[in-house]
Amino acid sequence: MARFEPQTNELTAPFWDATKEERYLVQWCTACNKAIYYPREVCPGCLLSDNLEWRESPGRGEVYTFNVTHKPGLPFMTDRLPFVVALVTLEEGTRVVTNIVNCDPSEVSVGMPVKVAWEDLSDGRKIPVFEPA
Amino acid sequence: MSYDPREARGKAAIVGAIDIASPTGMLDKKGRALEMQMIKGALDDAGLKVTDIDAVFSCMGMMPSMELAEYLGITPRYTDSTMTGGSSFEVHVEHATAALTLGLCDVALILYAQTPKSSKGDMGGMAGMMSMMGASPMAQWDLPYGLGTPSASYSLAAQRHMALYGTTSEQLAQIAVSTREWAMMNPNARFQEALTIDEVLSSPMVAAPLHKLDCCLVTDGAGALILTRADRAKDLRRDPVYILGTGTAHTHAMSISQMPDITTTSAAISGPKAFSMAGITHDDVDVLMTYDSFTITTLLALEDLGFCKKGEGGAFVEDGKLGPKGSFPTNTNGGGLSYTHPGMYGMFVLVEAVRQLRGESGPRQVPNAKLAVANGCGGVLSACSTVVLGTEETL
Ligand SMILES: [Zn+2]
Repeated sequence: MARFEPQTNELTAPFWDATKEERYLVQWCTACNKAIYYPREVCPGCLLSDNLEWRESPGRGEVYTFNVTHKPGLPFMTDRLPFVVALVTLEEGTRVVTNIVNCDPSEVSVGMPVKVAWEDLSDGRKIPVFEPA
Repeated sequence: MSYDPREARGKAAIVGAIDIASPTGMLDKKGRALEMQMIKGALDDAGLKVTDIDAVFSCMGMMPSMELAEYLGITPRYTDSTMTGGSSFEVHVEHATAALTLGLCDVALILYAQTPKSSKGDMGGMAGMMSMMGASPMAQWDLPYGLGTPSASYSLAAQRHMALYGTTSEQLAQIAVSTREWAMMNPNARFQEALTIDEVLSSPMVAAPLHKLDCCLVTDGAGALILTRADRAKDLRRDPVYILGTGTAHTHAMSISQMPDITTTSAAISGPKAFSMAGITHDDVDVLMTYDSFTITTLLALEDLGFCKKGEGGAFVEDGKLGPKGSFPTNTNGGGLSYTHPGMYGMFVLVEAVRQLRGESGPRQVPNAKLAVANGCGGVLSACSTVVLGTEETL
């Protein structure tokens, strides 16, 4: 089975709309001057929503950790085994879940610099993944 | 007025304990029938009746403790449906200790039963879960990347531990081997054949760096505990096992991206809390029962509970000291890796700790065991809860 496609909600619609143009957005609280992941209805620092905004990100960071999934417990992405699941620390400071693509899994390492890349979803949206920078 | 958890030290005790598992991994009974078998076993062990129970602890169902009490036809005056995944039962012991000490209740029942192996093939549960999750954070940010199972999350922790500290697959495999050595002495264990490091390393990769034999079992299993206040415990059938200390903390729920440091679990908080309440040092511990959903789970707990320094877990375990011939008896029932793991394994670390302190562990008995630590870890390295247990001598 292919990739599980995420549902969008009111909160995250701007993020997913921007992916259609390959723009990678990160949620920020301007009052706390802090990036937020995963996106929240309010900033967990000040518990307010007024100061939340989406900022375009260069989509650069480094691999915090990763695995090479050979036997997924869920019936998704079985058409591309083995695949790399990673946590990437963005330059903005947040740590995001992603896949590392466009390289052999054996080339991935903790601390490796990566940049955003895009894969098509079925409805015109794209999903941000990362590749070696 | 000041408050100090140490005032609850030794005020409550486990007076009834039972668990069940089978070498086939499957049990004859399931659901409420299995639960009732466990309740009767724990009550008989204590010498108490179902009508003595006035506090109910359960984490299975929509209104877990209410549904269980309704089925039993009792009207408890203390109720707790706390759900922290596999560590729920250690949390229940902590809450029961507080409630008993305050006089909010007299006899507490803590219960768990699950039969995933008998129910294998029933995927309705997962389909239901996926549709329920809808636009939840996990469904938007984890599942699309293939991150949605425990093995995927725990392998992320193992990989970073290896990168930072040089921990090796051989060291992790040694944990599985030492745990299996205990299981070989447990006639109810799922796996009782000898195991080698090479066999762990040549078992299929699930999510590198974790192999199949770095991962826990999927089996049926169940257990129950009865707790009461120390003054009442003395008059019952068995030697009481006293609650000396408890501690709980959680860092995140099921999204491991939210864990502040993926190589440090909340046992680094729950452990010191429990040890401080109990007034013990690491040298006082005769037996460690710690949640082993994966080999890395044991390794992180050894570090976070302070039995060795952060990063030194690999070196700590590699001489086999966790096993029956070693100097640091750990997971003496054979663990979630080789004894049983029905999904929320924390019940079994408590029951085996009780057995060890009663001197009932047969060929795997740790001689003269007086003090045991039971450490649960629920979610995906999310919620840790530590219980220090002792015999009358330790009071
Ligand atoms: Zn803020």
